[in-house]
Amino acid sequence: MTGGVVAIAGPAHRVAIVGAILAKGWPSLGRNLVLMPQSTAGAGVKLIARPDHLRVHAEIGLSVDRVVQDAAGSGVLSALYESAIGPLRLPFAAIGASRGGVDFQHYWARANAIRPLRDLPDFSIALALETAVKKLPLSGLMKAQMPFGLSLDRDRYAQLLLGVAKGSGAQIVPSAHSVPSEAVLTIDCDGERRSAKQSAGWTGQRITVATRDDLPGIDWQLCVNAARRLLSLASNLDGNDAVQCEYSRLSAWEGERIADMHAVLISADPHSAGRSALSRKLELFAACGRIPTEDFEVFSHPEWLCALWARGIRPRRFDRMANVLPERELLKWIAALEHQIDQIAKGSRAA
Amino acid sequence: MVVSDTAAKINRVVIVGGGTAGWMTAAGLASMLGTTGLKITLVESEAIGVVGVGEATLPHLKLFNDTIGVNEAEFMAATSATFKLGIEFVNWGRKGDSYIHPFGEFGLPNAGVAFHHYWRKFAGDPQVGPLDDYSLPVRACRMGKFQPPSDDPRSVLSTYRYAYQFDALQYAPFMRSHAEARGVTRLEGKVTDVAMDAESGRVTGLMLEDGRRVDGDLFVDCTGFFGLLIEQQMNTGYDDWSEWLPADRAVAAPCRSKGPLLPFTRATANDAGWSWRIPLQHRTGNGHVYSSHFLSDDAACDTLMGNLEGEALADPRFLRFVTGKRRKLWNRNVVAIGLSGGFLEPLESTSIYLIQEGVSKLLELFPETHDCAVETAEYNRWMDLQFERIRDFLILHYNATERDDTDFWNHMRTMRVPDSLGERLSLFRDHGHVSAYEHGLFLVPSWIAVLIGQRVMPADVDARTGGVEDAHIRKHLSGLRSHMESAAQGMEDHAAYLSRFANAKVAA
Repeated sequence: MTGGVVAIAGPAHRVAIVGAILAKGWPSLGRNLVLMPQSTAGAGVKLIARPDHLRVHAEIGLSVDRVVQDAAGSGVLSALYESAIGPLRLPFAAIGASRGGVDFQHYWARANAIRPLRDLPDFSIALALETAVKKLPLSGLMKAQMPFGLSLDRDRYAQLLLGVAKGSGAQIVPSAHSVPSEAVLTIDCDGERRSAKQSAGWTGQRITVATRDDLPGIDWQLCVNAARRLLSLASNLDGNDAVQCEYSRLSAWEGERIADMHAVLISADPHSAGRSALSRKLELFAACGRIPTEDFEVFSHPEWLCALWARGIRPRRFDRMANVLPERELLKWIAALEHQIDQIAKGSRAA
Repeated sequence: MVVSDTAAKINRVVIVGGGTAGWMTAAGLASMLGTTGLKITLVESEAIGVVGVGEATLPHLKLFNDTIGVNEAEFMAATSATFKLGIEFVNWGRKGDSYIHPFGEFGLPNAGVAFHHYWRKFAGDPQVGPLDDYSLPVRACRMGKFQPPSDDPRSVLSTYRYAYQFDALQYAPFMRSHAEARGVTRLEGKVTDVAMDAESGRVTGLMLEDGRRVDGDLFVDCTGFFGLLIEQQMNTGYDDWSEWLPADRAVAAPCRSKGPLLPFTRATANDAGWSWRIPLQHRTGNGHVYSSHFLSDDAACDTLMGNLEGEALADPRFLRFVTGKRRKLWNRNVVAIGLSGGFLEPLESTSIYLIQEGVSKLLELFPETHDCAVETAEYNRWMDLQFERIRDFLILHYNATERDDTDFWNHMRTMRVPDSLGERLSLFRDHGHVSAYEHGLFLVPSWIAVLIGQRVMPADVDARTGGVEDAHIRKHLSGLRSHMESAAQGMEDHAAYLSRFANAKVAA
């Protein structure tokens, strides 16, 4: 730290996430980190922390139990999005299981051609569990080694993280204050929303963090990524051209991938979104059931698979390697998976 | 009858050219798709020699071998293979320098911060020592030791992987037997003509010298630099990268081995290129890659032969090449795998990796019919990315140097590098940050090895290192260094392990 203040301004929960990660990760910032949280309306509003939460909270010294307790949290195995076809749940964990390097959907397609199966997403253990069990026990989720997120009370979570930042030396001042004049860097956690011209990235003495309230969990992830990106790129606050450029490029990639998913969810016709990486995903998936990835992805493979599937995109063929498994073995395996899903549903009814 | 409509199912694959690429492709396709009714034919001519590309490999080959069911001990015995833990680079940063690019990590990350940042804080301090001291595979290389990695992630023995060094002329026959055992048909014969479908522009068959015709649906061109199908028939075009990688010749000669059997390949920078040394069970492979603009063939040959460690076992053999790649590695119904697809000098042992990647991606995207423009585009995008990222990594070796003793090195040091590399270098020089990408062969530890090995020291380190007290970092470094030392000491002598494992007859 070369001296000078770093100010973080915006909605309390966003300032808290960025502030806590920076305060813990960049100890020499100390009292030079000034957090200016703005309270937001709506008590009891929920915030989703994506599966990355385990690592993020560990890095800032919080256990899952503590987060759940202080922020009235509970485990979630998927996120619920608004889409052009109504509410859509995208699971964090894989659907079915891959085998011999071939994803489950190829085996599903082959078996479905032999005998009609339940729909592909109905093979998701995550979705089945979430439907069957009202409140997923945290200990069970930890043991299951299945990626899970947290549903948290947004304001209580913000208070928890502000406490973490304060404990690491950050100052917290009311948002009514203007940004300190000695600030060498301002991290604006609401700039993109306030100004259509302000895109996420680092320019001069200002970092603008992208906002995305319409995609649950993504707002949290954007704040986490913004803070981590700054930590990994900037050893001081000079933010020379190469650093600013790299920061902005990574922010832009992130924005593009989120926009791709948003287009799939919301567009009347995702094919007409005019996005090249998305077109690649749509076309390759429709052609052969594979989902190509870019260097920077935000959503996981199961989320993409479910989103594409929900929008009615079906592969014209399945992977030829799925034919290697003998038919009898394939059907036996599929039946075992169906049984497992049924047991989950039955267990919930019994409970 | 020639079927030219796009709905016709692809059931016949014809591979043209044996050698490493041809037989790896045949073995890969037969092992993964052989039971699905796919008919695989390989056409090769004993009258046409093979280049025998890539005696040195990368750890990915083990995955390929495992996937297609190759028994490691049998493979090593059949190809006179040795184990490989990295590549030693001599004289690259400055004359007299030596560092090893290991197949593994340096130290351990802490709180999300890469190890080299902690090391950099105290670099130059004799108590801390060089970065190499914190890599178990580097330590093992220096001691001539080897042991397979551990599966236990808590063990320091899990921090590395290994590859092989083998006789490429023995590898192709080994792969051939593997492929033939899985149903591949081999046809001996020289291709004299290629039948094309005028409407679609696709290859439909090959005419052999003896009058036979071999029809197919999908053709894999493994004919080396000549590119019998991909270039001579398809006129695909070639991206020439000699602007950044001007070496265009190589001369190779094997010799008798001398000294201990080392578990690494050596790349020694010369006046206008570099020399390789690859230790095998029964001999040592040697070669000199150079730029003909800066060095004559005779001088290159003299350098090679003058530096052989033992008696030459064959006359020197010359190769000419143009660094670059085909504009499309998959064009209509022809896929170019191996040298027909492109050439990158073997500085980082990437030739066989690129073959393997070509086969793996083809398997992933294997088309059902000729209606496969989407699969073709994805294959080409993916392979382009692979080639370009390896290219940048190779350029780094030449550009990140302080050498100014020859015209060649002055040219390489001062040339304009691709923007993608320039930005990476700038970020590392300023802050020690290496941009990570999801796709591409060389990951962050590889970049760190070469950058720091060639004296590119970051001016500053990750701010998060400030969260750990200096005394604590020093203590951790000291403990880790000792731990690496004793772990390497505890490994077995490479030659002894190899002899026991592969029943190898290691040259005395």
